[in-house]
Amino acid sequence: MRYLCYSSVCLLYFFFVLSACRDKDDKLAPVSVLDSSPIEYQPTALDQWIKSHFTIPYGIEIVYRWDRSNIPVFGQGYPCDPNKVKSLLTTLNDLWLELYEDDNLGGKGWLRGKMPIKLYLIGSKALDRNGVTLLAPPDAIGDEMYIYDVNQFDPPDNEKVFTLMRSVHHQYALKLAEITQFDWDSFSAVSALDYRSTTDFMSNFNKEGDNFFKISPYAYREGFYTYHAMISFKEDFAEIVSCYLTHSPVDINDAKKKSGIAFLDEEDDDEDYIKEQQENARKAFRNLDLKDKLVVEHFKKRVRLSLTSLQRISLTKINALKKVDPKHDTTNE
Amino acid sequence: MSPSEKSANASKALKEELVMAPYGWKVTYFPRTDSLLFTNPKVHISEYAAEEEHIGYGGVFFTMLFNSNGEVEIHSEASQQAEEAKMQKSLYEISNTSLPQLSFTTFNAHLHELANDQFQGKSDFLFLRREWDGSLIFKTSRFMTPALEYIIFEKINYNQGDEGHEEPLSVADSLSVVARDNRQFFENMKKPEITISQGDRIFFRSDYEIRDKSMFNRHKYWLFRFPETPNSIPYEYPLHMIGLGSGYCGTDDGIAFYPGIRFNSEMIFNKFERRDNRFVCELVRVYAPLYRKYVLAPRHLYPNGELTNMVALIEDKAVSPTN
Repeated sequence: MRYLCYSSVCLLYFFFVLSACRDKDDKLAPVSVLDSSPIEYQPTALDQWIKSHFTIPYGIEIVYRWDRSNIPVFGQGYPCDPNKVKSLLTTLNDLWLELYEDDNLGGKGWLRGKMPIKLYLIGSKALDRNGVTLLAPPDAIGDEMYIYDVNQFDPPDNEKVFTLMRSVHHQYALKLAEITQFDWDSFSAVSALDYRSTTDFMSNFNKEGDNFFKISPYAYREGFYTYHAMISFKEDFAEIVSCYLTHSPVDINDAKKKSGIAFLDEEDDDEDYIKEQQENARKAFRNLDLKDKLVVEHFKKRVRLSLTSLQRISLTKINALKKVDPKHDTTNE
Repeated sequence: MSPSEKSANASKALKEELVMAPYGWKVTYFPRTDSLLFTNPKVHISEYAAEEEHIGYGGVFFTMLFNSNGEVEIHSEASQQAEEAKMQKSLYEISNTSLPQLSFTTFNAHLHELANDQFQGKSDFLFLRREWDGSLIFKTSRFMTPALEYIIFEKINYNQGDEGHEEPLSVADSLSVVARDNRQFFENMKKPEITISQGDRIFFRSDYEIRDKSMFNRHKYWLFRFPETPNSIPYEYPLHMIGLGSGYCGTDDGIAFYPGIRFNSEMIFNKFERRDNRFVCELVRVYAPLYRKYVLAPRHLYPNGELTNMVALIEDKAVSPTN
């Protein structure tokens, strides 16, 4: 009986509180708390073109408008010039998207489900605190890709196209590694003690201009293809893929071969020093060759594309682009 | 009204205000200033202290015309050639952060000319408040303390007069052209010197010629110096040199200095009017209802203000006076 009274009082109290909260005049606020001021802008012709050529077919959002909160900016960043966007995206389509969906490789529709969600375009360079030009933000996640220095992009300039594709292939390699579960443990163990973690050592080499992104003797003598590969094992993996897709087989093999040759001056006659250099060279070659094989094997088995076929077709497409404007070929300058 | 509604309304109000100005806005942007640099006329300025790495930076005068489609048309006085000064169109957005934020979301050659390691300009302006004279004051997220940057929006009040209707774009363009001419006139002065006085009493007068002004022009910063104790050795740096300096930009009236030529906490000269071959800033006392107190303002903008006789005059001492 006491229990019945007690529960009746509680129930009455509950309904009393509920009715006090309810107000028939309360309506939903017209403005959402989550998105209290949605930015509305008229889609431009460029937005429509991007939607039809990228967003709908590939499911990737191209963000060319400045968004400081979402873009890792290095130093004094600034937005991209919309006049450069279309030519840059056309180049990306020709050399990246159509590469993977080539009939001899993945085929039409291969990229579906394998694309990043967003591609950000930024006008300024990615210069870190050491003044080094980065290919991508160091802590970028695979779902977002970043293209820097858009305002300087010029399709007839082969060096600019080269640098652009180095960055794109570098970042997309990390995305592929994520979705195909690359064996990071085995790969990272190969050159575990040789990674630098910072870009301090690169700041002097940055003055080489666009050669900064090419295969470097300094790097392959340490068992890497490029300066950026020496930062971490993830960068190393991405650089192997990126170098394959932007350098010829001759350049790749040449780098591997020369990595095994000790770097000595004519005056060097200290036997211990010579032996040490030769041992370093053997180690560099061994590491480079092993990492190379791990990456090629992974592409064959998990990505299900031959890296050497990707290389061949990528270079064919790059050369075809050069031939479109032969008078602007700057490679021999 | 909930906080998010207030925030949304504030952003909408800012956008409406920017768009509803029929002739646009005069924008003065000084991304990087130092209100303590060369503001004490008693401290000795060594030769080393006036070298490039120690002097400050100036700013740029823009005219901006916003439309409701998210486009902004910008003219600038900073360009050297008329060809470079052509109107640049880009996109803008107003969003909510801690304050209403005006972001220039695509590249604009005029505005982003300041986005470099020297001037350190930004693309996102946070709306702080409306000033007593109706101007809009912005800041960036770079600094928490005041007086390290100046972003001032003043509505262009164009009087059509008898000349008939002028297109807003041509009004904005003509203002930036005048501003550029004023800046170039100042920069081409062979020996610009300043005299700060009140009535017959002269508080400060500079008298030091700088042969190579290119460094100062690059920084858009000027340092007026006076050798209080000259060096007995000819052509050597004075033993005791004093001075006042500030960043500058051209304006449609003349020249603007921010953080200003500061003789003391009261005598701060910002906006100079060009009168023939000189730049004059005469301060008058004006009542600011917003602050409920009297403030000092330039006389050419407030001709009915109470006279104080505080005047700063900049003229080219290398040229003999015309009157």
